[in-house]
Amino acid sequence: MAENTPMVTPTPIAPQLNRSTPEKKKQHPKSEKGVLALERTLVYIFLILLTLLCLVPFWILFVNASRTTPEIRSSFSFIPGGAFFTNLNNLFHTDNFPVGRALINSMLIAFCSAILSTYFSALTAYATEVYQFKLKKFVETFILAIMMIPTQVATMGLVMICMQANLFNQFWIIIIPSIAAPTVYFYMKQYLASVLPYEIVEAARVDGAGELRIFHTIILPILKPAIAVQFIFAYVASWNNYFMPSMLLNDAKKYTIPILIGQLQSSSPDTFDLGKIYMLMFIAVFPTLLIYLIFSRGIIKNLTNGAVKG
Amino acid sequence: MSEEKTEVKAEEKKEAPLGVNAQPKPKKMSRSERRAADKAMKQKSKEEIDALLKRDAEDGWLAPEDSFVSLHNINKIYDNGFHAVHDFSIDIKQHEFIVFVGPSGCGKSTTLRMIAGLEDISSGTLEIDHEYMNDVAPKDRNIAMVFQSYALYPHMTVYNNIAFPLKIMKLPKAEIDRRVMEAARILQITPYLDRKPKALSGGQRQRVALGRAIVKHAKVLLMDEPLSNLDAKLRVQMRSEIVKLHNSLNATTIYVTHDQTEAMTMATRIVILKDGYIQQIGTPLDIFNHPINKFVAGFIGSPAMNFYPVLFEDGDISFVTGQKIHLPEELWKGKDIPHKATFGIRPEDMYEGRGKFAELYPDACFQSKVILAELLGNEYYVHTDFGFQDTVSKFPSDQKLAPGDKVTFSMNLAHCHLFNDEDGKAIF
Repeated sequence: MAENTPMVTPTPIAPQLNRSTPEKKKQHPKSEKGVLALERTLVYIFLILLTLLCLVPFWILFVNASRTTPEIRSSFSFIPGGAFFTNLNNLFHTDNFPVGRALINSMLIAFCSAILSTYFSALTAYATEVYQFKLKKFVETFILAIMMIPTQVATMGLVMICMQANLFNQFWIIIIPSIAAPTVYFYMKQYLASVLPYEIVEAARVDGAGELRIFHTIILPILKPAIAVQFIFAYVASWNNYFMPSMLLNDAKKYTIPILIGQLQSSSPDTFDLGKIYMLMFIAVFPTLLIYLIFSRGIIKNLTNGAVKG
Repeated sequence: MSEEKTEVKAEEKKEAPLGVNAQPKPKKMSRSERRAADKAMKQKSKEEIDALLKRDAEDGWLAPEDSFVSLHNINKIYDNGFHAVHDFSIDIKQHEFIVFVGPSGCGKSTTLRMIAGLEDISSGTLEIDHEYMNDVAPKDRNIAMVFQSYALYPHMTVYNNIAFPLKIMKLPKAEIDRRVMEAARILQITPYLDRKPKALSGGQRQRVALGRAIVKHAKVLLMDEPLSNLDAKLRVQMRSEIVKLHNSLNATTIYVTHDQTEAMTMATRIVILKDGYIQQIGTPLDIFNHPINKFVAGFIGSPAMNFYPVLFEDGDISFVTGQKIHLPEELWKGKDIPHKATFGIRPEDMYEGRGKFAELYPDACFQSKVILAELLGNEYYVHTDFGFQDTVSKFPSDQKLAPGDKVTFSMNLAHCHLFNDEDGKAIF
């Protein structure tokens, strides 16, 4: 009985907790800290390696763009050479190779395509998300079904029409079809479905706003992150587009950068100025990087926080 | 042997009665059957709407001259055949504070949304300031609305949120500024004008939503359960602020809530709805004292009215426990009262002890056992088992009550009610 007494005696809970918690901390603090530090170091090393893996091609591109052809042919190097501006000068002063013009053309087409495809996709996404109309499901399915058709197949039809109507060497022929972008639409639709509280559309209607005004002043700002993402994708896709411009543009003044790069294939490898080619590729990559840097700022999470009671 | 067993098992399976919780599975419809059912439902709702529209055309109704917002025989029938609002009619005068109240799914928000133009009106006539509004777009109705979920524009600052309707009205910048600052001052949100909604608390957001509604100086102010997302304390505070705001703006307000306390404290007139039908329209006091049926009597008042099944005979009502009360003659004399009825009395009309009502109505004085005593500070909600029902009465908290205690209470029979069991209508 006497032995049992201490066990039965109620001990306050709080002091027990206070005692046990520091004990636990005292028991394992060093080893826990060590494991955590090791884990972190390994994760950081892994992430740094991945980052390097992504950056190495760009660095090599830059290094080779700054070296002469014999230097590039003789050895591989991670250190930039001194011929950056020579290559740049050569590139812009080659006969029948209008790089400056092609850069402007590519930028114009890519910018217009990206703007129009994101804008009209957002408009379509808003319409199918907010309005109820007959054949709505059919319209949605039809738009998504377009994704199943390869671009090349659709382009062939367009090329045939252009041949019949003699519509070559016109930028709008490349820009207008890019408006129909089912993937961009799908992304916008999903984004709207997840972030748009329908009440704010109704609130805007009651406040006196018309439908277009609601779209431009309420919906577009809410869609900003999705627009930023899709603008980058659409811009890069259009910038890299070789197939359609090569079919529809045959005037050297209307060439885009991918067409110029494609033309290099037909040149003799012996006469290749590799420095110039790397410089062209470097220049071709640069605007897309710039676009990414500018628009990635618009990718903000949870823009609709605070709109409605969550 | 084994075959026999299998057969028996199969039979058992076939004939096994359904368990208590087991429910027969509804027969799964094929796609074509579903489509046919949908089509039939749409056709049915269309026919129903057509019949109502025909009735409207033959009606020749004119809104009363003193009416500001008129709803006449408004019906809402959805495509799936669901009849959400039935023949809703009310004439609202200018500067009235009307509250639509009822349980979830009674059609109160649908009616408000029809007034706002956010929901189509299937049949009936809606007039605002003597203008036919059925087919007018929400933006052209000159109304303002506060939503339950605030519905603020997340990318705009508080200032821009409030100024949004004014910018659409293309008011001069100085006027916009003046109105926004005025609204912000009234609602005490001036320090937050530069903030975005996500940086505000629930109460502040609701104030912004109110601000956006009041700056417009709209003809009608609609509010769809604006306080239901706020905590209890803030709700009480905002309740009085909305009433003050309504009075200072001289607005015409239609307010939707499921909270009868909000309805009672704010309204100049209450509209009680159930299952899409108007149950009663009246001033809070009128509805509280003279409920038209058992539903209204039970819905209005907190705690709710106590109901007892009784047998009526020559002014006497007898409870299931055998206890009898003789009702005052002025209540029942000359009325056709069925034998079976429901007796109702509010917790406020059940007084502790043998007071003056015990002298007035000596047979309406009972003793009962306390089941639960909820202390609210100044008073108790005492639950007893009188009449084999959970009976709630309000007692002062000057003496301590505990479950098991015996309490004596007397009823003020002048305020009691009797309801017809068949249709639930109040006899008195």
